[in-house]
Amino acid sequence: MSDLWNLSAVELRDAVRNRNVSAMEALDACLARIEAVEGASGTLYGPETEPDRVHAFIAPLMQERARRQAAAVDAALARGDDPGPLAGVPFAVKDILCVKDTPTTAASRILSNYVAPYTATAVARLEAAGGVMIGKTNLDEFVYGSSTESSAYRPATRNPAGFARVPGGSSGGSAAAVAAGEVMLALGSDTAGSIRQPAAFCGVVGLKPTYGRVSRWGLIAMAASLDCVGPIARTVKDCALALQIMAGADPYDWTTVTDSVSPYADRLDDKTVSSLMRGLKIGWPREYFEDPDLIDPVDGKPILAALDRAAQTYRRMGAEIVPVSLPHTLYAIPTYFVISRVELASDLHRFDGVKYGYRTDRGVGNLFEMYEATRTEGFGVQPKQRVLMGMHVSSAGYAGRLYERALRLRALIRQDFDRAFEKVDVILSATTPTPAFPIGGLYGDTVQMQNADRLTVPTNHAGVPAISLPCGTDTDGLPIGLQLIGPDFTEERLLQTAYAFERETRG
Amino acid sequence: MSSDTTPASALYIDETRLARLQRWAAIASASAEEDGYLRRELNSQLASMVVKVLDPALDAALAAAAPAMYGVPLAPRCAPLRDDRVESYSDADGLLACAPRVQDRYFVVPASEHETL
Repeated sequence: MSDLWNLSAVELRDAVRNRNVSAMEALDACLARIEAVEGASGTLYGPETEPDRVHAFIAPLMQERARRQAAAVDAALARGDDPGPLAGVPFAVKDILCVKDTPTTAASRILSNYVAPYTATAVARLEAAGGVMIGKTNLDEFVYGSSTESSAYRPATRNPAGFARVPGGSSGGSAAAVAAGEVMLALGSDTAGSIRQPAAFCGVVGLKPTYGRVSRWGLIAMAASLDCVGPIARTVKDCALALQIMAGADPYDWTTVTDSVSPYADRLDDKTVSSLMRGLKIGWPREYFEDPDLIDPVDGKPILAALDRAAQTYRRMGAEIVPVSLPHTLYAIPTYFVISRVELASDLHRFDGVKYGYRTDRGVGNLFEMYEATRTEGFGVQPKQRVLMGMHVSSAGYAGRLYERALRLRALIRQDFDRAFEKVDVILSATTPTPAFPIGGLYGDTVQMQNADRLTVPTNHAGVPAISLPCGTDTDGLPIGLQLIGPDFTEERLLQTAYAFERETRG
Repeated sequence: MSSDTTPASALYIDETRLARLQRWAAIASASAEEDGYLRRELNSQLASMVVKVLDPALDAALAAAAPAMYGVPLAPRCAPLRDDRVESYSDADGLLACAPRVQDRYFVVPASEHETL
């Protein structure tokens, strides 16, 4: 039973439902795995220790809560009741999602004492389906970063594929926890690539659903027009299972759509998928492979070679590779610098030390001084620079020129995808322009760090769904991610296309 | 939409402008070192990235595009907004428990800046 942690979520769920193993045994197996590989979990301004451990979680783990949930699953099975489609599967939650009666920090001092009074819809649905919430994972502070290095909670999360490398970000803790076998499934959020980039860096699968497919209620907002909640897992089918549980309209989030939710995991049968591949048209976006500003022809050589092999794999399965163009891709990061900063500057005004979170201990003369001291002490330097940029580009004289132009640019980026999807069913690209970079390699250089998202952020602007899955390694053994992008609300076909590749390439 | 004429240099953040932004954001200067880092990075972002939004080559295409608040056209697919209604919340004390300072079920804050007339 000690290797239960190595099962997929679907395999473990089936074992629990068939009563071959109890939910409590599954939980114990994951806790033992965490004990073996985690090392110290993150604490506020904690010391950097144990460079050969993962440090995926923010302390403390929710062991008692998890034991109650596992016991409830086992009790339901003993009564003959159905405990749900995620019965007994331990999962982790990026600490940007609220979970009732647990600390929810956003990896920031300003929320270091915050205990959420409610649970995010996505988490609540997984728990209602029999999932066992085991703990909260580390992230870049308020999700502002691509390496998880800006977290105020230390030690920094390390990449299980190479401990000297970053796990990516901002959902770095979730990706690392899944890759290290600490959990089968974790939730992340994706505003510019924050699910897919860490999934690619850590060698696991990450899905950004269509904007509006999964409720954002209970997600601490970064940029509300771009944020998406989605799963990270070791298999495509596990991501599909999580999505079918989480997706659907939510009266607490008006941007969730009322379209019906497919049983995504059930639609991943070999016959259906093989049939889909024959005649599937897969777009090959010229800019993503040929523009040196998007992917360096020398440094990106292993990535380009892996993508070429992926295209050959799809051709062998019967798909057709069709050149397409996404001409405004180069403007996606500049556009993001404007839109995200304006939205987050507004979102972060709520953190003022009045209703929740950290408040300064300094003696202050008036309310504004209390706000100022609280925010100065509570925010790290990365949230600060983003808020200041948001104030700058939305200030009088610039708002119309910059913000409005950025919103129009978003429409052009969206048009690129609309036109491409008139010709193809799915678009294929690399998830990242490089494999995982060294810890400390980019941190502090905010342009280079943001630029790490240049292949993922266009889909956030367009709102379309995208998935990253492993497609090989470089010469150092670092994982390379394949990104597949689909039209709005075509997660079923996107997951089937990903599953076909996974089935064909996994031993 | 009129063509943009903002020179990139007009976006530059000097010390005075940084101080004004900090005041607006209610974020004080923490140290000269941090201010220097913030200015360097913000100006780097402006010069290398944000300025590309002003690319005149985009003017014609942007003039023909409507501003998009979301990438996905949501309106036809979302439930209509329900009428506003007041609902009592069962755990008001739970919300108050999140606050740094509470007295008699009120949030306690310092006085606003004011002049006594």
